[in-house]
Amino acid sequence: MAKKNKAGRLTLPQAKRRIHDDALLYIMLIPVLAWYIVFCYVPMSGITLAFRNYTFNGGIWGSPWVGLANFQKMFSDTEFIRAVKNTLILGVGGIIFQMPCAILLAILINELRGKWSKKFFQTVVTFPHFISWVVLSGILVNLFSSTGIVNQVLNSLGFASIEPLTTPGPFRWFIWLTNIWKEVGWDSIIYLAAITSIDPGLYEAAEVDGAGRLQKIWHITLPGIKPTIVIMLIMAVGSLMSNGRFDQIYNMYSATVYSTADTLDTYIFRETFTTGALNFGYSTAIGLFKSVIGVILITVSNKICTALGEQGLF
Amino acid sequence: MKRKRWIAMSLACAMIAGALPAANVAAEESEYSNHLDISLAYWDVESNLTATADDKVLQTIEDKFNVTFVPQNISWDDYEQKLQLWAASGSLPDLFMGAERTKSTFATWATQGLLTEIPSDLSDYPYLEDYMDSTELQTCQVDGKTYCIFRQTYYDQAETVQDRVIAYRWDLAQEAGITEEPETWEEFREMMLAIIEADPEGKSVQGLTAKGYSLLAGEFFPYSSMLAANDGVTFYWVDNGDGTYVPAYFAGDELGADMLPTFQLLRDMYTEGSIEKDIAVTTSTQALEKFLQGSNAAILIDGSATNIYNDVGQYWEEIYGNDFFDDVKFLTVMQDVNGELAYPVFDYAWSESYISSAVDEEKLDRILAIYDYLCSPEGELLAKCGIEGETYGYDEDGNITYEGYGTGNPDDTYKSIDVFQYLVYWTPEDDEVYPRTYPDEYYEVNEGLVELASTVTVPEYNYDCTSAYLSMNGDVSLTVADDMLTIMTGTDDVESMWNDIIAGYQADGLDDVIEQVNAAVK
Repeated sequence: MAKKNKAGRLTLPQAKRRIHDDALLYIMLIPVLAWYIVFCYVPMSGITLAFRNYTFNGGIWGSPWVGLANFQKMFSDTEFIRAVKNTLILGVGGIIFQMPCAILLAILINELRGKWSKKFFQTVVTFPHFISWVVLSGILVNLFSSTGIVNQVLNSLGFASIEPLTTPGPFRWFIWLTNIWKEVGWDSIIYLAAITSIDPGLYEAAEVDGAGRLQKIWHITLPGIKPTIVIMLIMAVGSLMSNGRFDQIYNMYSATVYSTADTLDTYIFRETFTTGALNFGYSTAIGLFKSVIGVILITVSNKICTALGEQGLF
Repeated sequence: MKRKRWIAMSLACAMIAGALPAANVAAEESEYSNHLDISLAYWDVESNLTATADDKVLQTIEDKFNVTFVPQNISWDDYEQKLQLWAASGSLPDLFMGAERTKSTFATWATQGLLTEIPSDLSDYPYLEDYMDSTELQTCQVDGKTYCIFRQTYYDQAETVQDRVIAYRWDLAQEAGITEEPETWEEFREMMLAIIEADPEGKSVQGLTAKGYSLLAGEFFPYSSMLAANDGVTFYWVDNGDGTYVPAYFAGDELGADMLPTFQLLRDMYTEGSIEKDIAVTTSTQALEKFLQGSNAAILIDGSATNIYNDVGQYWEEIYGNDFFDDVKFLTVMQDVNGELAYPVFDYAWSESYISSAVDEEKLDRILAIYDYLCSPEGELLAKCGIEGETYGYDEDGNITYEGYGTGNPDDTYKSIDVFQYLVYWTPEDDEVYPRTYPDEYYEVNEGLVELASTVTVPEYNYDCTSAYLSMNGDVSLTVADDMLTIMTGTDDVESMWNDIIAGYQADGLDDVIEQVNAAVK
């Protein structure tokens, strides 16, 4: 290890030496840094649009400044308020229902004895993740239409038909459940990885002490993956405002269910690219609002977790 | 090896030598010495303008005007998004199509310098000048200047009746005990319910489906307002009885009261099933397939009766063993709430051509010259029928015929016909001189509907109000189809839902807009 100077910093020759020693790692870092600069930091300059009234002839830099007018309009826009509400409800519901399912699935797969059965089930539950929502939504719309197979089965069993795609309340559940079905296998991978890193000696000791399966899960597996759960929770809370459900909702919703399904992403897209009613300055303001709330959420949740003695993200 | 290389070089030289005279001929034939590339965004243009070497129609036009068309593809699903993205990124094609002039987008593009103004003096392009001499021109103007070229579909108001057409299963209706063809919505509902109840084919048949729920507005709004189905910002304005002009959508003793009977009718039909439950999520393709499979007793289509031939009509006999017109009938012009015939009043052109502001004067002249040519008898014949002796000829009476030439359909031979025959307009004014490419029965349905619609008096509206509102570039944009769907599929009281929607428009400034427009036209 290189010696530091009195101020506790590396001297220039020492720093050069260290860079030289780890040159390969620094080279590997270049594409990642370039990606962040090109796709994250450079476009960030476009944030100024949130304070401008975008005009095509003015562009990003020449459009007139309007101060906070876009934000004032935002908070008096009833459709925006509705979209914020829906985004939060769908996001929180997603965390509440989807995370436990992924943890449970990881534990169940881990408990399987056979090596092949473990691989088989993991492949089966992970597979839907790789199907696009464009394809899946077509299948789901057919399955759940009034004459689809789901309603045919329900009717033949004497139950009433369900209309999740065109009824506002059930549509929310439909979004949660179909997303769980599609993503639960993929989400469980990280928990499975965390479980495999738990010291097998702990399980052996528990077995010697006469612990049953459920006790081992409760006292060893869950505490063992708690740091992973906390980190995943912080990240999920941080992305509440952009919960990644745009393609899922956009491909299945209609005006019938806007009251529960129209999120910020679908609202911005529809108004900007379909009706052409939104000013790009206004949509940038909404985007900035989303990002600021996201930063606040991730910071607060990180603080809460570290205050409770858990390992935070930063 | 050396010999092979020599042969290859000789062949390459021969090809270049062979191509040079052709290029010279092309340049000599054209009155334009400077060659230009014209980027063109048209629906499915990529697949229709690629086979340059074989496509004599494309070649003729390119040679005549010394241009090369560079296709920039748009599809029916993505054209609005693509145009918005191109507009935002400053990469709009030189010439592009769209259906934007009813939306605030058009005024924004025009006033913010994205579009080239079409010259008011078109005397250098006499055929185009003649074409543009139309009442439809006012829909292409912002602040008195023209920024697009309308693509004419209809030439008379009564023709817009065929823009929304319902085909229904008359064979199933008869099996369900219906003996009279419906002439009112009440009779239509009875017929639908009777078919659903009897389910003659055992397919759990559903009620009316549509190639997109938004079509319902055009079909059903005339029940209480013939003028209300226009959305966006170019909606019609009517005198509300007290000298004040209001959007037709909001006409009535109370704001919007006239629309209540229509919304109630739609709610009732949706609740009872005479309009199918899945209409909100049914795509165009699904609707056509479901009707063809016998899953729905009726289908609402756009763009006239002929539009059902390609997807449904031509397969019917193969599937059902009967002629399409033995099993299926088309709904007549329906009666409104007062028992009078009514149909939707639309513009005569639903889409338009735009020229980007990035185009210089030389290219603008070339584009207008091409448009002028396509409006001329020679250009129209080439764009519609192709090459004489190859895709069309003349019968003994001197009429154009496709029989005996190619497949009998010119655009099968020259794909570019699918672009050029519709580039300036959808329908030429003298469409009758061209052979029909669909069975006559479909045209007869259209003609029957137009004949009936001709007897209907069109309510008065004031287009000056529409123009005044367009020039204001206001925030109120009507989403009539979404409003209709929300109310139709809702469970709350129809009137209270409609009042909530009106309140939403008022929050966006509807009352101010009405006041400002009335002040502007006084």
